[in-house]
This record gives sequence, C-alpha cells and structure tokens, in this order.
Amino acid sequence: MKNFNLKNKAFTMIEIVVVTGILALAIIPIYQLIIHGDATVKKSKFSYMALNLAREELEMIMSVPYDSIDDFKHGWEKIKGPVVTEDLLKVSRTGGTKKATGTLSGSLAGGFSGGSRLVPGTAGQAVIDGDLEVGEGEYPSEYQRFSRKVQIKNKRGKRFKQITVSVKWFGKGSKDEYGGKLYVLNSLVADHRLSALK
Amino acid sequence: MFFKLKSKNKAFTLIEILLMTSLLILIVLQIWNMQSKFLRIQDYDSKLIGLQNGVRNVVENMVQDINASIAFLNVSNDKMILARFKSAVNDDFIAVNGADVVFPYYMDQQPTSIFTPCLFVEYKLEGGGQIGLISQNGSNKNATIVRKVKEGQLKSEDTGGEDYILDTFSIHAGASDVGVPKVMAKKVSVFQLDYYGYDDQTGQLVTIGAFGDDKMAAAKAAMVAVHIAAEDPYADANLNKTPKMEIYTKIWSQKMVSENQYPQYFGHFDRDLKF
Repeated sequence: MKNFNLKNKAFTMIEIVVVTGILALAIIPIYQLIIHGDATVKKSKFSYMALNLAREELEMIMSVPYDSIDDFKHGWEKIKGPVVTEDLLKVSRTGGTKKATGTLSGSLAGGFSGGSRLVPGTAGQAVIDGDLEVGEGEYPSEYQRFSRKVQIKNKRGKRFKQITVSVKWFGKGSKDEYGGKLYVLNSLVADHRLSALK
Repeated sequence: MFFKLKSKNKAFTLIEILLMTSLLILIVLQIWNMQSKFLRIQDYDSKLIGLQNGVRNVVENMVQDINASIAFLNVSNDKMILARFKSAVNDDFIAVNGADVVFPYYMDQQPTSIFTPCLFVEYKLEGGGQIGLISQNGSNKNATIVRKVKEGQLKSEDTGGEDYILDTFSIHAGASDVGVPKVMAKKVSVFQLDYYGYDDQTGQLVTIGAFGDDKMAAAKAAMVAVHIAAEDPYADANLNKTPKMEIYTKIWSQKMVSENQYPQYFGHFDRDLKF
C-alpha cells in the first residue's frame, strides 16, 4: 500500500484565484487584437471613401476653366447635399460664376425620357440610418462623417496653380474622431492658353 | 481504503466552493460573450472586406476606363458602354470613309465616317430587378456588376452640316469578345449612373438629357456620377447592423474635359491626356 503525504497537495483558494486572474488577463490582449482588427477594417473603408472624395474634388477642379479654379477653394466643409453641385453646373467656358444660389433650373436638373434611362438619382433616395433621409442625387448620410478642404495657391506667377484637397473624417459617432485621419491629394495645374505665355 | 490520507485540509469549505463556483460562472459567461462577439465581429469584418473589394474593383476600373475614354456609347442608368483606344500610344490604324487617312484631312461639310480600332468596355448590373438599400426596401442582395470587353472598330460619324464635329459614335459590325466577362462586385444593392456633358456653346455642364436622343447624348457625355452600394446582411435578422460599402462619386473623361476647356486645340483623337 502506498502512503501519500497529502499535506498541501491540493490548490489553495489563493492559488486558484491568482491563476484565474492571470487567465482572465491573458484574454485581454486577444480581445484588444480583435477590436483593433475590427477598427482597421472600418478605417480602410473610410480611408477609401476619403480617397474618392479627394480624387473627385481634384478631378472636378481640374475640369473647370483655369480662371474659375479659384472659385472652388474653401475651408473645412461637411460632405452633404448634391454630388453634382450647382456651383459646378454654373461654370461656363469663359469664366465661372461664383457661388450661385437658388435651385437648379428645369433644364439643368432635367430628367430623361424614353429608352432604358431613368430620372437621374432615382436610386439615390437612400435611407441609411432609418431616420435620416437623403434626397435624390445627394451624398448618402454616411458621408456626413467626412469633411473636405480645398486650398489653391499660385505658383510661378500665375501660370501654375497648386491644388491641395484634404479630407478628414470621424471614426464612429461624432465625438470619437480617430486622431490624424486625414487624406491629402496634391496636383499642379498649368494654364495652357497662349495668352498665359505673354 | 486504497491509500491513506494524511492531509489536514482534505476539502474546500462551503464558502470556498460557492465563491469559486460563482467566479467560474462569471468567467465562463464572459468568455462566452466574448466569443460570440468575436464571431460577430469576424463575420462583419470578413463581409465588409468582401464588399470593399468588390466596390473598389468597380470604382477603380471605372476611373481608369472613363478617364481614358474616347466616347460613351451607352448611357443607361444601370449600364455603361464606352470606347477607349487599344494601344498605349497613338498608333492605331485609322480609316476615313473606308480609305487610309492622309493628314491633314477635313470633314468638308460632307458626311464622314471614321473607323478607329478600339476596346469597348461595358459595365452592367446583372440580376438586378428591384434594387435599393436593405434599409430602404429589402433590396436584391444577389445583383452583380459585370465588366465585359470587346475589341473592334469604333465608327465615328459627322453627319454633315456646318460644324466639323463627330456627332455620333457606335460599335462597327464585327466586334469580338476579349476574354470572359468579369464579375466585379457581388451583393450589389445600388448601381446608379447619371451622366453629364458639356454644352457646346457655353461649356456648361448639363445632364445629358438635354442633348436629345440616346446616340447624340452618349457622344456628349463627359462625366458620370456613380452611386454603388453593396450590402451583405447577417443571417440572423435580429442583428440590425448590416455590413455595407457605399460610394457615390464623380468620374470624368479627361478627353472630354480637355476638349471643352480648349476646343480650338483638341480633337477627337487625343487620348489619355498624353498630348
């Protein structure tokens, strides 16, 4: 017969509590890892949306006549309202009209008839948050977390303009802003007209 | 007894057992909660990544294709066909009214047809039917955006008159498929295309509805407002957080922009801003 001396052979209460605590602590980094991964996925989504906001603004400014470019500089503005702004529709080849007011005229906003084409923005009537409606042809409500700024500087006299489009955004809600979430695109535009060479 | 115990503390007290049991229950519950949360986050993230990949795929390809486009051939709200040059440099063979081109050539108020080797790229919503966001009307979650490419001759026509402008563009007979159609994005809820073009006289941007019939309107298209949303809901309908990727953006044809800005300098054979 074997004779066991079992004095203090079992775990004490303190040991069990300490081990349990250590195990619980070990779970925290795993938890943080997953939460961080989740935030990264969401960040990449917003980052891509920001990239497109910067790209479209840059392309839009590059599409207007050289003399009208300055009309499109502005400070931080929330992204909301029409995707194709009235200001853009008012720009003419001979020089833009600054900050037009009022609603679109019938001919500008005019829809299509016949064929397979529908009225522009039919599917744009998106209801994102259930209680926040967005009109036809307007940025979805999710875009309201973004703000955009356009800076324009003359370079080498007046022959070149440097356009800087910055986009920043909130992570979640309106208070929890991810620090330094900023997307910046730069481009240089030249005045190609012969008169600019004089 | 098989062996003899000599311990003074042979068992836990009732208090210890109760304490430990409740502690363990708390921990197990917490782990259970965390596990279900992890699974939900994992599901959400993997679906969101899939949707992002699809939407990125469509938008980035569209940006490239539209930036480099010569002309739009179809301007439907759920479908777009455009023509872009085939080669990287401007050495495509061009024929005017069936004969080799001798530069400079003029469209001297005579109906003129120009044939240019091109790629024709089509983006189309398939399996669409009723589309819209889930939060709006339930949506069709199985719609896809497909990109098809054909190779052939772009037929550009000046129908005569006083202006020397190519009025219409179309795919000449005999175009053939290049590769197989590619599914660019799945689970699409919204694919809406609105086209804008420049008014010849003022250079102002207007909806292409102002340009009359489809063929003339397509030839004028210079910018597309693209609205894409893809959603992939949880199997559990009680979870109201639906993974969603939505992009609403404008894409410009650089060639049309240049022609509008400098109408006296640019012609229909410039491309990709490589002038």
